[in-house]
Amino acid sequence: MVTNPNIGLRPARPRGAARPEPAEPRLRLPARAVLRGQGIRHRRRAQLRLAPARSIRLPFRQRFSDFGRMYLLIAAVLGGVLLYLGQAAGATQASYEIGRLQAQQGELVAEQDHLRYEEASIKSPARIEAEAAQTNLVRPQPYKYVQFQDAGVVLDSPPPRPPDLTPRWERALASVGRRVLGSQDALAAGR
Amino acid sequence: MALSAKAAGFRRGRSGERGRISAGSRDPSFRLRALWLLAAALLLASLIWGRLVYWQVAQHSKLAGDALSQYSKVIELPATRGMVYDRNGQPLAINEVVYSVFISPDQVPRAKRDAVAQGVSSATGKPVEEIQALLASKSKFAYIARRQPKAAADRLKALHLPGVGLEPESQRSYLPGGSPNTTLAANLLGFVNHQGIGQYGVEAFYQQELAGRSGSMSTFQDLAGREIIVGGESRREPVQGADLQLTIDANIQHAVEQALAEGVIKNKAESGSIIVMDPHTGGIIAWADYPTYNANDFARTSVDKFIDPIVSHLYEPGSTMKVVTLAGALDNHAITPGMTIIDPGYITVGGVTLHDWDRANKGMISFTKVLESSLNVGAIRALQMEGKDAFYRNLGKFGFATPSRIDVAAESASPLRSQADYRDSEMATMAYGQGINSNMVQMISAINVVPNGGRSVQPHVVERVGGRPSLISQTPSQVVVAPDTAAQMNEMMKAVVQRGSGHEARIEGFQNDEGGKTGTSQMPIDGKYGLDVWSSYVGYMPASDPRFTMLVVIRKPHNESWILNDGYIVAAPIWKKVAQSIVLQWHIAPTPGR
Repeated sequence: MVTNPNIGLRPARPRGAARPEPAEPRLRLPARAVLRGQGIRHRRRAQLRLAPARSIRLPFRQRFSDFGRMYLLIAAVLGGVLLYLGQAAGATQASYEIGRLQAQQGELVAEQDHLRYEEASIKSPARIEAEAAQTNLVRPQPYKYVQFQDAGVVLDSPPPRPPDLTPRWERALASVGRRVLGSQDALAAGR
Repeated sequence: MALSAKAAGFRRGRSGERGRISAGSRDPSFRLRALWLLAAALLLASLIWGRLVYWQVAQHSKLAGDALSQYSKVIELPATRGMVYDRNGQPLAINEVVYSVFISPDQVPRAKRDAVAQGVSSATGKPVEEIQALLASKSKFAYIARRQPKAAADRLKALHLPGVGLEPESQRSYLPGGSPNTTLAANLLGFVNHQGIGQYGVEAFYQQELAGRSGSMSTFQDLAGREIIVGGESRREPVQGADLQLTIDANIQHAVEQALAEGVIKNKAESGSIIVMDPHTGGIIAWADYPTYNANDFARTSVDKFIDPIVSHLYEPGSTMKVVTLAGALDNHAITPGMTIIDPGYITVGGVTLHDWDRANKGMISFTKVLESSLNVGAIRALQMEGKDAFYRNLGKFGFATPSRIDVAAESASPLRSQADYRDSEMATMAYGQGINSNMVQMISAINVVPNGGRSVQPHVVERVGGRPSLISQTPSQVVVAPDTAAQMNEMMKAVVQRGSGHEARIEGFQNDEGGKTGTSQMPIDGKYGLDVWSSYVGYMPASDPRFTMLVVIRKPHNESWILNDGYIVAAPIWKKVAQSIVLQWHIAPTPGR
C-alpha cells in the first residue's frame, strides 16, 4: 500500500504550456525493471513495477503534507487538552470524594468523642454510686479493723498438726501404695 | 481579503500566481498607502498590546489576587484540645462535638413551615411559636438553638427538614460531681469558654499546653464553595494540645465533694473548702469547694461561683497556725515539747491584753498541752521565747511570705509586711493565726512540713503534661525544720487527736496514729472581729507513715450556739468522714502496735 500522498499526483499544467520533460522517477525501482526499460522503445506500463510499500522508507517530513502535519498537531493538542480535562475532572471528583470522606471522618470522630464521654460518665463515681444506690448497695459504715495477733514462732516445739480431713479410703489406699511402691510421694505426685 | 488586496495594489501576475506584486507596486503612491496602512495597523495593534500590558503587567498582582480570592480559600485546621485525666487515667475533661441548629427561613416553603416548626421543636425543645415567628420573618439566617447535644442533632437530621442546618462546634464536657447539678472538681478544673479559651483553674493555667496551635491549609474551591484538591495546596499541620494527667484521684474527689456539701449544709455555713495533699510529693489528691457549679453549663452560672476560694480567697488560719509557731520555736531550740509555762488565761503584749479561747487559768502547762488545748497564751510565750526575728523568719520559711506557686490560675497571696511594720500585739496575734492572711494552699503546705519530716514540697495539681513530668512537679523540696523538730511536732499533733481538741477526728483503728490541729478564727468586718468564723481542721494520717494531709475550712457556720461553730465541732467531723473514705479507697491499714 502506497502511503505517500505525492505518488500519482502531478501539478496542474497551464494551458498552452509545453509538456514538461518527464521527471526522473524518484522512486528507486528494482534493477530488473530498469534494465527492461532501457532496451525497448515502446514502454509497457506493466513493466514499471513499484516496490512493495513495506520496503519504502521515507523520512517523516515527506510522509505527510503540510495540512496533514497540521491536522496531526491539532489532534495531538486536542488529545492533550482532553487528557488534561479528563484528569482534572477526575481529580475534582476525587477531591469531592475526599471532602465527603473527611466530613464522614469528622462525624465518626464526633461519634467517638461522644462515646468517650459516655464511657467516662458511666465510669464516674457519681454514676457508680447512683447505680449502687438503685440496687440498695451502701458503703460499710462504720467499719472495723481486726487486730492482727502476731503469736510468734517457736522452732523448738512444732506447731500442732491440723486434723487430717482426707477420707479414710484414700488414706488406706495411700498406705497400700506406700507398701507397694515404697515411696510417700506416690500419691502426692498424683495430686 | 480580496478587496483589501486590490486596494493595496496586489494584482494577479501573468503567470497566474497569487501574491506576486506587479510592477505597479513600485508606484510611490502605492508605497505611501501601504505605509499608512501599516502605520494604522501598528497603531491599532499597539493599542491592544498596550492594553494587554496594562492588564497583564501593571495590574497583574491585583487581578491575580482577585482571581485567587475567588477560587482559593484558607481553611483553619483547629488543634484538638488536650484531655485532662486523673491520677488513675479516668478522664475528667473531654472534648465533645455539639451542634448549633440554624434555619434559613427563605428556603422553607410556606406550606412546610408548620411541619418544620414542629420538627425543630420536637428535636430541640424550643417552643413552636418561637420557631414559627422566625420562619415568618424575612431574615435569611437565624440560630434556633445553640450547642445542642448529639442526640438532638441526630433526631433533627433524621427529619430531613428543608432550610434547617446543623453547625458542629467543639465543647468541653466534664463529669458529674459529688452534689446535684455540679461537675467534678469544677473549681479546680475551670472550664473552656465558647471561644475555646480556658477560664479559671487548670484550664486557664495550662491554656497554652492544652490548646496546642492551629494549623492552616490553603486550597481551591468551586463555585459552590466545595474544596477541590489539585495538589498545589500549602498546608501547615496543627500542633495538637497536650493531655494533662492530674494528681487528683476522681474517687476521693467525689467522696470529698459529698462530705463537704453535707457538712456545709449541716452547719448552715456559707461555704466550705477541702484540700487533700500527698505529704511527700505535694501532689493534690482532692480539691473541693461548696457551693460549686456545673462547668457544662457555665454560661448560665453566676460569675462569683467561678472564683475558687481555696486559692483565690485569703483567710486567717487561726489556731492551726500554732503548729507553725511551735515548730519554729522548737527548731530554734527556744522551747521543748515538755517545757512548762504558766498560763493564767491571758497575756498583755504591747498594751493589748490577749486571751485564751476560754479565758480560764490553766496554771503550769507544757507546750504539748498548749497545742492539745489550743492555748493562745502558750503560742505567744513560744514567740516570746524564740524572739520576733526568728518568728518572722519562720513565717517566710514556712511559705507565708510568697505565693505557693501552685499550678492553678488566679492565686491570691498577701505578702508579709516588713517586720518593722508589725506592732508587738500584731506579731503576738499572728502566733495563733489571727492578723495574718494566707490561702489554703499556703496553709496546707506549711503544715505538711511536719508529716514530711521537716521538708516543704511544692504543691501541684498536674503530674504530667503530654506524657512528660510537669516542671512544677519536679521542684525540689526544701528543708524548713530539722527532722527531729518535725518528729517532735508529729508527736505533739498526735497528742492533739489523742488527748486534745482533735478528738472528733479520731478514726477507729488509727486513733494513736494520726496527727491534727483544730482552728477557729474570727472574721474581721470593718476592722473589727465579729462572731462569724472560719472553722478549720488540718491533719494527716497515718502519722507513722503519712499517706495524706488534709485541710478543711468551713466559712461562717451558723449553728445554734457560738461555741458550736468551733473547728473541732464543725470541721473535724468532715475531716474524719473524708479520711475514712480515703482509708477505704486506698486500703490503708493501721500499723500493728500503734
